[in-house]
Amino acid sequence: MTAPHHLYVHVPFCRLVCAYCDFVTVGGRADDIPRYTDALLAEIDIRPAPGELRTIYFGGGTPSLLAAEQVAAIIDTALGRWGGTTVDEVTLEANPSAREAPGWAGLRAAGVTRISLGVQSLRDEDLHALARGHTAREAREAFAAARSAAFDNISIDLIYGIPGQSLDDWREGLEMAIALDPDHLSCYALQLALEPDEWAAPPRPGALRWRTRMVPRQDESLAADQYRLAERFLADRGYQHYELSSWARPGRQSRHNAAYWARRAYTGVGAGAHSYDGGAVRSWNTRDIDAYLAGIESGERPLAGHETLDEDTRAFEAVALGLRRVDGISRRAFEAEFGTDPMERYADAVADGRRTELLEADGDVLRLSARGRLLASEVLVAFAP
Amino acid sequence: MIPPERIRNFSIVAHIDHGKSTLADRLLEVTHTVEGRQMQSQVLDSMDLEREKGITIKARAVRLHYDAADGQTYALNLIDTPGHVDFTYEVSRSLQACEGAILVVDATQGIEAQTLANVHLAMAQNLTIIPVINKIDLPSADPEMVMDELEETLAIPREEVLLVSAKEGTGVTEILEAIVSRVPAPAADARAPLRALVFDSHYDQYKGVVAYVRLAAGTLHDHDRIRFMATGAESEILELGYFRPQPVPTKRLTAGEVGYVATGLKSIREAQVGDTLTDAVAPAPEPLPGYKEPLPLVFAGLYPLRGDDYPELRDALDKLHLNDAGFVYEPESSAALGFGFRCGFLGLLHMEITQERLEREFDLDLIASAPSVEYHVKLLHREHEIEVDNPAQMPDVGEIERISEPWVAAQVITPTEYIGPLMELATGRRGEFQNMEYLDPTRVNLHFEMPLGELIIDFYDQLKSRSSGYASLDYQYIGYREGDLVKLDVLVSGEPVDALSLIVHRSNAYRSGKALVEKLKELIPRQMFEVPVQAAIGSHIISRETIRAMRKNVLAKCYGGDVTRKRKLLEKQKEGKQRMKRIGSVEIPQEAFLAVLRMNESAG
Repeated sequence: MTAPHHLYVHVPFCRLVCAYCDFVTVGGRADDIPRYTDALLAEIDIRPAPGELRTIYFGGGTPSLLAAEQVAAIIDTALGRWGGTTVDEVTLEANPSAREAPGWAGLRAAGVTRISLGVQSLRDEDLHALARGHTAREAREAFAAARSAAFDNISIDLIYGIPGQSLDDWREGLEMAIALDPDHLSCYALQLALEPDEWAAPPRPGALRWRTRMVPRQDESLAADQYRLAERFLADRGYQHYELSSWARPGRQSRHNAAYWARRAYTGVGAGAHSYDGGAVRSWNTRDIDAYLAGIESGERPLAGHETLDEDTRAFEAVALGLRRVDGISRRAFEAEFGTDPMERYADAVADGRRTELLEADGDVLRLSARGRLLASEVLVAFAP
Repeated sequence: MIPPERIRNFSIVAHIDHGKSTLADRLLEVTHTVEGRQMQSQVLDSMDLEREKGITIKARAVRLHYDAADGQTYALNLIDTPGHVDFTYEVSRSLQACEGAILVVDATQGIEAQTLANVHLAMAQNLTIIPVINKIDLPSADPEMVMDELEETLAIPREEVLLVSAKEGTGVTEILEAIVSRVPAPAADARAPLRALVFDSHYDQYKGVVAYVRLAAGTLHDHDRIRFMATGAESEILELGYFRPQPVPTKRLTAGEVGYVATGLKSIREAQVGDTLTDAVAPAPEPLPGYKEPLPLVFAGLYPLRGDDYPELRDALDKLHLNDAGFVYEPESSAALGFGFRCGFLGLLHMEITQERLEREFDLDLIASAPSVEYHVKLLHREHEIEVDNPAQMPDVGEIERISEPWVAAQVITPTEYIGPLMELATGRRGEFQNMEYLDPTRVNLHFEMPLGELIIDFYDQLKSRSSGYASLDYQYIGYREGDLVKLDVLVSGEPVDALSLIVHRSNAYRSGKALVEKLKELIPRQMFEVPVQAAIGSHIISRETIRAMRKNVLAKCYGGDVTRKRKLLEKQKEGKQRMKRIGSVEIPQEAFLAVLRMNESAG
């Protein structure tokens, strides 16, 4: 049997670049989309196509800025390249702004099966605070339009920890979100990097000023309460909490993201996209869009870096990614791969985590406790090599 | 050999960043002492730290051979000087070895306060000053303005001023000519008994102590038996020479010359800066004037972050000690920090530099306690005073009859517009104002007497910030005085942390206690539980703050499969944790142990 494989397609273009975002994005270059699409097609052609392709994920940026035909071309090229019909999930991230409403039916016809809608909030106060380019009403309309175009698998993103957003505001936002009846929800805390790490895209000066104003108005303790509220609220309404920031109706978990947490092999195409061979090598493309285009057009993958993981690092990644899943990690599976029971290999970290009641050991399973999910980094740091 | 009339000994005096190192580089290049292609920027500052901080820590002496316009070849000895208040004594010794000084002033900045102290030192020693305005290539250069300043503040006639761009090499030859024509040749009697001023020294693994000397009289020969007059140390010369800038051995050095003497001595304490080197067989009757024993004034505990590193720290201190006469240390232990060393330094910058050298050159992670001075404590029913240089070791208040502390005479040179804020600063630190001296209509020298303990706690930073960087400071130890002092303890999670204790004047105790716990609240990161921080005098709690428990620390999802970034962020967090000291169950970062230095940032 061939190993499963996954494809990530990065589309960096945005009509409006959000001040809190530190992903690879670029504003005001919509004219370059056709050229960039050609580059994506070319990159898929020159990259190896190992395993059986199972999922495709269009992330951004704003992938919904691509025309349906461009999306179709990418999907078709990938299917042709991997030569199979094993793909069972094709996700596309979309922005719910009316000004950039995509052709939903066209995307569905192109082969997209799942929409991840960047709603962020259904309260206009929050959207205003985040300086988003859409309103709550536009978000509802976009959701309805996607549904009526036969998308039966729609996820929405929500943000908490927004300055000015009280616990009641957050509950109200959750209620309005549930009223849409999404199949999946991702809830993220607003994280504002003032001193961006070297691995993030550097913020524009204006964005940095905005963050500097916002950070003092954030309240860590309130954000913790908002997270706990989301856990209770969504469980009561039939959403299963399956990963730190993800909730799903039964059968609607994101298969593509699951591949990251399970450390399966994936190919990332586009500027700044990351790839993993499923073994020891992680690699990534240049973040600079012009350098990316020039590289591809000269026939080569514009690699910016790669790393070879030693055994300790791979084991740490297995723990760090595995513990993001609410089900945690299987000790047997870990031992099968690394030769030791994680309870022994990380005896000190496990003992510390259990003493502080952030980590739970339950038969074969090692997982974060409810409080541990809020302090995941505190727990994981102890496992670092 | 070059006769004394064709020797010139000079140094360069400049404010930080006014281009001293670039000018020195250029002088070396123009005289072919170092060829352009071998030129590593700023040759004279050979320690990494010096290059980075842009300051010169150890004096250096380089001989330049210059073919002057008069057709003669001259030996020009460039004696480099350190430029900070902690090293004033070293500067004065370096200047003592010269007949002239190049005063470098930035054409865009004008005269700055730090320069003045050194120019005044040079003038007091009757050195010929060659004024140089540097960076005239910059668009914002205003040489006319700077010439006005030189004229007004230092009475330097504008026709003496040279206009230079060290970066582009303009005017450099003119400087060399000015050295030849304006700086007098050294007065030198080669037949008188040998007297050589030690203006610097360093320890070399193979050659022992190498002393940098300026011969005032007499002649030194290879293999002579020599004596250091203040310390009495004797040895036979292993090697004699001068620097170009690498050492060049020679058979002899005569009066007026500058060079080095490798002594084979094992400790730098035997050949200290300011001492006079003489012939052991036919010694001079009198040493050169001005020798001073280095006096450590500032004390702090240095502890390895990881207890296992204690032997490495001890070895590193041993090595540094060989090369730094102003630095002393002895083992001590702290309930909070484990085993470490109590170290004495010449001043705060000296302490900072030493700590950085330990971390960089020896790859040690250190925790430094807040600096302290040495208190003299008279206990009840005891005849003799005891010396306490670590606040944690201060005896209980009930046993103490009286405490005395070291005082200094401080001089603050400042533009007149900052007199108010600086007076307020000094008197707030128990400074006693003595008098005010006008250097010119715009600049004054304020004289204070104040406790050294008050001066070492961020006084210099405050001085700089309240004078927009213009004020300069110098101080001399004047003696011990009794004071109404109390020990302030800090408790974290109810546990006293001895390394955070400090001695304060009773009248300031409440204010200091409050400011300290407020600062600690800022510096100690949230833990998984609530952490009270308290200040106490004896058993009496005078201030309390609470660090709330951490509730949330989780990274967002790995976008587009960027697992590398997420992992590196976790690894970075781990590194941060490893740089903290665990006391009880609380993780305290290194900065917290220096909180006392930053108390005035928020508390004002």
